[in-house]
Order: sequence, then C-alpha cells, then structure tokens
Amino acid sequence: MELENTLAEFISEMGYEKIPLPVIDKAKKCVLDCLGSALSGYDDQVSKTITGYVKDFGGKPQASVLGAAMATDVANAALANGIIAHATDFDDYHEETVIHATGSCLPTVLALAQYLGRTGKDVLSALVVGVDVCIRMGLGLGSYHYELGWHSTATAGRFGATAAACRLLGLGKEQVVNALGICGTQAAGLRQVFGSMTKPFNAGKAAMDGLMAAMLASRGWDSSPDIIEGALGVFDVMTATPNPEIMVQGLGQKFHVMDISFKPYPSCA
Amino acid sequence: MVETGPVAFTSAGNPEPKKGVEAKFSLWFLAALALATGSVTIDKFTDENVADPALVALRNKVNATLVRELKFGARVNVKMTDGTEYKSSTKHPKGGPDDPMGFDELSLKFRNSARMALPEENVEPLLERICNLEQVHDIGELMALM
Repeated sequence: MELENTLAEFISEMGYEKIPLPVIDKAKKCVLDCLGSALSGYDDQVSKTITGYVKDFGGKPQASVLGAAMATDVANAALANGIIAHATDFDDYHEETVIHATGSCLPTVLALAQYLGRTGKDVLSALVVGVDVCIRMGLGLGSYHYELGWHSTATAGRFGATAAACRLLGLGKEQVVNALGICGTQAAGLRQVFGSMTKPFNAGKAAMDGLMAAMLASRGWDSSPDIIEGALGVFDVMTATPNPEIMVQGLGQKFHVMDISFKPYPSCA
Repeated sequence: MVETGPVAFTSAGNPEPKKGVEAKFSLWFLAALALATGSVTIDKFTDENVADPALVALRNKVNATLVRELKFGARVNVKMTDGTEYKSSTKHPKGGPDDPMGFDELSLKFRNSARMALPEENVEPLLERICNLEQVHDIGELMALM
C-alpha cells in the first residue's frame, strides 16, 4: 500500500514547474518522434481498420484520430492513436525494459488534453509523469515478466497511461490510488501476438484503459489500494522477481524519460 | 554474419518473412535490405520486397546468431566472394541516450512521415508547434492539423 501511495503522491504533485528543463526538452522530442512514427503508419492496415472501426462505433467527436481527419470520443481516440503510433514499430523505446513508453502514454495525453482544452505545458508534464511511472513499473516487474510472455509495453504501459491521465485531470492522491487499482486489474497483453495486427492493439488498449481508469477514478470509482504489492496483486500474479525498491528510487529526481531511445530505422530489432 | 543480443534476436527472429508486415521482425531480411539498398526505410517493407528473388537469395546468405552478452549491441561481418571482408560493431543502437538523435534528425524523421499522411501545408506549422510545445495554449489547434 505504501508503494501505491508514494507513486500516487508523485503523480498528483509533479506539475510542469517542478520538472527540470532538460527533462521537458526530452519529453518534447518524444512527442515529435511519436507523432512522426504515428503518421508513418497512417495507411497501414491496422490504422485503416481501427479508423474504420471508430468511425462506425465511436462516440461524440471529442478528440482527433491521427492522420484520419476525423474525431471520436476520447477513449476511442486513445485506442486508435495508440494503435496508429505503434503500427510501424517506429516509436521510441526504453532499452532496459524494452517498453515503448511514449506510444502507450502520449495517445492518452493528447486525447484528454484536446477534450479538456489543455496547454502544451500540461501535455509535457503529463507525458513526463506517465513515462516515468511506466518505466518504473517495468523495472519493478523485472525482465522475468517479459520473459514469461507479458508484453510490458501493454502491462506497464497501462500504468503509464493511467498516471499521465491522472496528472492531466489533476486528481488528488486518493483518486490516483484508485485509478492505479482500476488500471492494474486490466493489465494484460501477450508477446504471443507479435508479428500480427494485435501487437499494436496491445499499445492502443493500454492507452484506452489508462484513460478510462483515471476518468472513472475522477468520478469516485474505487478499487484496491494495494494493486501492485497486494497478495493477489500485479507483482504476485505477473512476475516472480518483483523489485519494489527500484520503483521509487530517485522518484521526482531521476526522470526515466531521459533514458528513452529513438529509432532511426523502423524495425523491431 | 550478424550477431546481436536476445531482445533483437527474439523480436526479429523470423528468418523467412512472407508478408511486408513481417519484414521488421526479420534480422535476415533487414540485413539483406541494408546490403542491397543501403538504407532501411519504411516504404520498403512491402509484400513485393519480402518475396523479391534477389533479396530472398541475399537473405539466405545471412547468418544471424544470438550472442547473449551483446545485449542491445551488434556485430556485423560481411564476406565478399573475392575474399574482401567488412566488419563493424556497436554497443548501443543509434538514437539511445549514448548516441542521441537531435531535434534536427527527429524533425527529418517527422517530415518524411508527415508528408505521406497530411496535406503539405500542415507539415511545417505542425512541426513548429511541436518544437515549441510549451507555448501552445490549446492542444486542440495542434491536433486539428493532424
């Protein structure tokens, strides 16, 4: 419970003015790279299919679908843009955890920021917080989690998307704990689907579920306060080598977005 | 001969890709493509290229091996029929914190992609707004350009 509280406090309090400029600068590069990667996949089969899907089933026009000149509801925009961002596998990654962090977090941030009419500064701080929580979650789950077959971009990525959305919504600590709890029970995504259209789906679903977790928490939805370290929580179920210490090491001082790598070539290698 | 660590090797471990969408998951195809064309760009990941007889022949000459200690690094050794050898190696891929991509390189990557997807007149205004994102008052104006 302490771990969840510590993370929630960080998410709730880390505003733009508390983030060092080089970190903001790196986040801006992540936005540039992720949007470029997304646009490179605009006519990929997965992008066309998900765009058609949200056209038919999406709700109110609240947020743009990248490269599609249309808008849909925030949750479906996050889903579609998360898929489009990862369609060509050209988006950024974190070397140690092999997580495509921006691809899971930024679609959530942009959809929600557009809906709420927020600023570029709001987007940047939410992305810094989201990517940080995402990578910390990946480090906490350890490489064994990935080796087991979990697609950490989707599992840890959901936590990143949730954190980013909470930051953007300005949720208080207790609501953030609930959001993390709603997020954790949805954490999924298997590496078995690599090489199929369902790999980018994993990233988009993380973006969508993270957004939903934060939106529900903001309306008073509750969940377990112990989703990560609880007896039937994420650590117990999804890894054998959890590392809770590394998740809070240097929290608020060391920003993991600084370790994000960009891909000059569009390959999974 | 291509040697690399476990992540690249298992992610891109498909020696015989059949469809364009599988191209990025094949070290063998990627190495052949790099040798044959000199650049690995996204427009080349097509069904036609994956089945191209010349690329398939070259791909079949590629020997990709897992070397666990290399982690994210890679070693490449190319032997020509006349006996000439070309060797190269790297510890970390380009684009990482040790060998970063700057705003100029990322802007180029952005332009190449954005021009395929968006009206030409949107590309530079969009790039300008992203590069000055902290000055954007309403993110909707940026999203409207995409």
